[in-house]
Amino acid sequence: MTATTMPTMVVFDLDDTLYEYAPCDAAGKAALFRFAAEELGVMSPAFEQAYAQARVNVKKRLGPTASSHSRLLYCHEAMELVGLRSEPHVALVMEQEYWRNYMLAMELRPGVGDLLQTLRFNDVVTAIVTDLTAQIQFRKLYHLDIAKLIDHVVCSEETALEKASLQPFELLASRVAPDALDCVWFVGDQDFDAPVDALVEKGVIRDGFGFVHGATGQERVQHWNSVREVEDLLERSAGRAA
Amino acid sequence: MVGRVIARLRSSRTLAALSPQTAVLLGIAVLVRFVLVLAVVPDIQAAWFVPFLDNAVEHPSWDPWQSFLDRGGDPASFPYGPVMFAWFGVWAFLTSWLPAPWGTQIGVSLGLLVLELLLWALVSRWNRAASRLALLLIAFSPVAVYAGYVHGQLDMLPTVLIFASALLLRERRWSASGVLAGLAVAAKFSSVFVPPLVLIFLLRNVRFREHTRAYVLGLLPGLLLTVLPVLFPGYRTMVLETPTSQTAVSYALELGPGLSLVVLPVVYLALAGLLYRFKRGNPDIVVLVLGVMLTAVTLLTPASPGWYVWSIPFLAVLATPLGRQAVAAVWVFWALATVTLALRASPASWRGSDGPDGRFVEVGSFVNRTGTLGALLSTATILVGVLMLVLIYRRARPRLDMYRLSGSPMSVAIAGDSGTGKDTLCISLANVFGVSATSFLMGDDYHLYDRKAPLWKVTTHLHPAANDLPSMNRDALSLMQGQPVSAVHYDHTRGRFTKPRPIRQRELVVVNGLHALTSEEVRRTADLTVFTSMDERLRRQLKINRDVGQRGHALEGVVASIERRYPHAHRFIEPQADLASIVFRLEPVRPLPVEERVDDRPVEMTLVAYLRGSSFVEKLQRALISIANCPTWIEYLGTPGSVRVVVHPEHLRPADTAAVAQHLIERPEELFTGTPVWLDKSRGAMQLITVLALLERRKNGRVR
Repeated sequence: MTATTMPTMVVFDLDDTLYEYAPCDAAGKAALFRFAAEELGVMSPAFEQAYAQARVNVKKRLGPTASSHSRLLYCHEAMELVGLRSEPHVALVMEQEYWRNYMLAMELRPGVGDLLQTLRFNDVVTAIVTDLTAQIQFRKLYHLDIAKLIDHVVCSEETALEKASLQPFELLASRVAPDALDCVWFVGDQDFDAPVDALVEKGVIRDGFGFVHGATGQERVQHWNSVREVEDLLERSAGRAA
Repeated sequence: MVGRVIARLRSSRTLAALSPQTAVLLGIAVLVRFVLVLAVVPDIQAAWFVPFLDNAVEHPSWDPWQSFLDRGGDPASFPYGPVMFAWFGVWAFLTSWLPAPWGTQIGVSLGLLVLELLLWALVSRWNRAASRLALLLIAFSPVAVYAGYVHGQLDMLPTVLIFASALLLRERRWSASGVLAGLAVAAKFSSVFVPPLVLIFLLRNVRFREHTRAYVLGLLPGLLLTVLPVLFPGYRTMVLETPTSQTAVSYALELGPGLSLVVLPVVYLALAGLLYRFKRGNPDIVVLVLGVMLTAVTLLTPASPGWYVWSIPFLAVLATPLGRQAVAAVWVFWALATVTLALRASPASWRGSDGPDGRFVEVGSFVNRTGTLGALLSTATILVGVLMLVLIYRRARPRLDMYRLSGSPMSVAIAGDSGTGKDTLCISLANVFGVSATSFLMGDDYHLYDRKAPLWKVTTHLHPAANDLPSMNRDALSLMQGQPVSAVHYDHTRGRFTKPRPIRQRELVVVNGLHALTSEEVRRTADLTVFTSMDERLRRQLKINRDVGQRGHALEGVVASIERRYPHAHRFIEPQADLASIVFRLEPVRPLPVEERVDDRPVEMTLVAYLRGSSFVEKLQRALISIANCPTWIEYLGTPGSVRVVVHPEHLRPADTAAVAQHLIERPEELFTGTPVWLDKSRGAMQLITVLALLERRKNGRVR
């Protein structure tokens, strides 16, 4: 069990890990639907359905890629679905409407700042590997004011496929010093945020441990509720290492 | 119905935000109250309220007070108005079918419990960030438990109404606030202390004065409910001639034979006077004064336990943001008050026991029943109460008047050459703070000569000698110090001066002129000094577009006029840039064509702002990039504390500007009466920088 070993690198997921996703998405969607009603005259139930269908369509067409999460594409597709054809300017404005309100609702989970500071204090490499386009993920990181505490950021837009393919993790591994891969901890909300077994098996990392919200079949991955649990484990590991 | 309530509770953000520990603690507090409701019968309820309500249930009448007196009831039994009667009457009716020892009394207690839960909901809505501590403070307030469930007073109803009225006042819902304040008076006449304080605030503050009518109209239903029953003799006897009204004059300082100074009215008038001093206050200041006043009543009268209930929500919401010391002071005050009251006020009996005998007397029995211990406890309660109020007032006042508007209006002095955007910036600021909240002092009104004067052939408006700068500076200082002035106005369409017009002081004073920063006294007094400038080619282009394209002047004449002004601009106007806290410069993103002609195509602009000693720029940069998606760059200059901020605001929309402002401006409720109008592009970016710089200086208590 490597959770008792001091990590050489900690890889975080961003969305719904370092902050709570649901209220932000709700705020963004509410603003988007309000905009559609007020500016386009497409009332909310109709536009909500169109937006949901647009999301399904885009994801189905693009598969597991960063742009399959693009709100710009969802808005663009939704306008096609409601019969407004392509309106690039309106799609851009709607995308900004969504993200502006999303950002305003964003708050770091309690303890994230402390955990990142503790990692920095202990010379542990920090990284974020996240599925989405770089522009918006960078905006989020800047807004949350944690970019200064993160050494490496990999967005799935930088690779052909998303995290489930392991490609973003492999890209990260290629960017860090080899000794950072000795014992890697992963913190995320879903199972594919902490693919410890697969990465060890592929030889991308030598050892590791994961924390995810949901149930997991991996031996080296445990459930977490609060960031404090990760920091507690880290402090225990640091104590042993000392 | 029940399902809807449960669904509402489940979706409540406040409840969802409560930690499991807090939820358990609140559950315990509710349980304690519920057990008391079931197990205990306050003597005052058994002796007074229950017989009155029983009579009302058994013998319904338009004048339940007279009906009760006709059947030999004690006139002191129910000294409350129709709203109190309606609320507890309904609860009494609902449980009147229950056999002894439950009956109407359990209905009264349940009515109290429901009111208290309602009060908790209101407190949690007051300040969501501090709602957990405020909720725990009132949930574990000993005086709330004692006064309501042991001593059995009914003051929770007027308390809820007054607190809800204050909450609505804070939310700018003037009529609704008035309605609830009126209903509070109709519940218990003592609530009449409250509306005059609110009216003083509304009438004294120019920006809120227009809402006085709505508040007064709101008061009317409650006041009618209070006054109309005067036609009933029973109401006059039991409510208006209640001995509790005498407690307001019970504490007096003997100044000599036959001469005494009654304490409570003096303190009340002092608080009203304090509120009168706030020319530019905000509803939170009213809440602070109300909290102090309601607590002062308990300290300055032989108050019944019910009076302590009135101040509970106010003290909770005022103390919790101030830290542990203030919270502890409030709790200790309540604890001491509870012990003091418990020693001298009427007790409770276990349900099913005999209860009080027929000689029950409450009013007037508080003092001197407990000997030395009671006197000592009373003294300690008053002492702690006074210290607590001083602590809360001193700490809360700066927080609730963060921008020190009550002291003096905000002020901005804007200088710059003509055509560089001074007027646009002025209008942009008025868009934010409201035209009715902004006073303008325009430099053009202080030109010495009108347009047709021959002197303009040999000089320009840019020369200081062509302007009455001493008068302009004197008037600017008066306005910035809160004094109204009178000035003629230069009518640009006719080129003539109007007769003098009054310029009243408002929340924001904007001094705008070619020479607005020439006076050291004006620069020192203004909260913020701004200099506007523009890329010269851009300025010429915009001037040519206006004078040639719109006004039909000859291009050669316009160009000659521009160039004739250069010597004075370089000599008298541009040096003011070095004296300003902010220098704005608008630049075209792409170079403009060399050839000068009318060209109305939109020019994409970059805003460059030079700032000195401002600490908000990094936050602004972050918000502009992340929230508004507006590229922004900060360059740190050689002079310590000076920065050059470059903003590319071409895609900045009003909603983006508003979102950045919402994110960065603390306590906007102090500043804006209506909805601020935030603009797009460079105007929006200039609004943000100017307003944030202004507020930072006000907040940091810039010493004049």
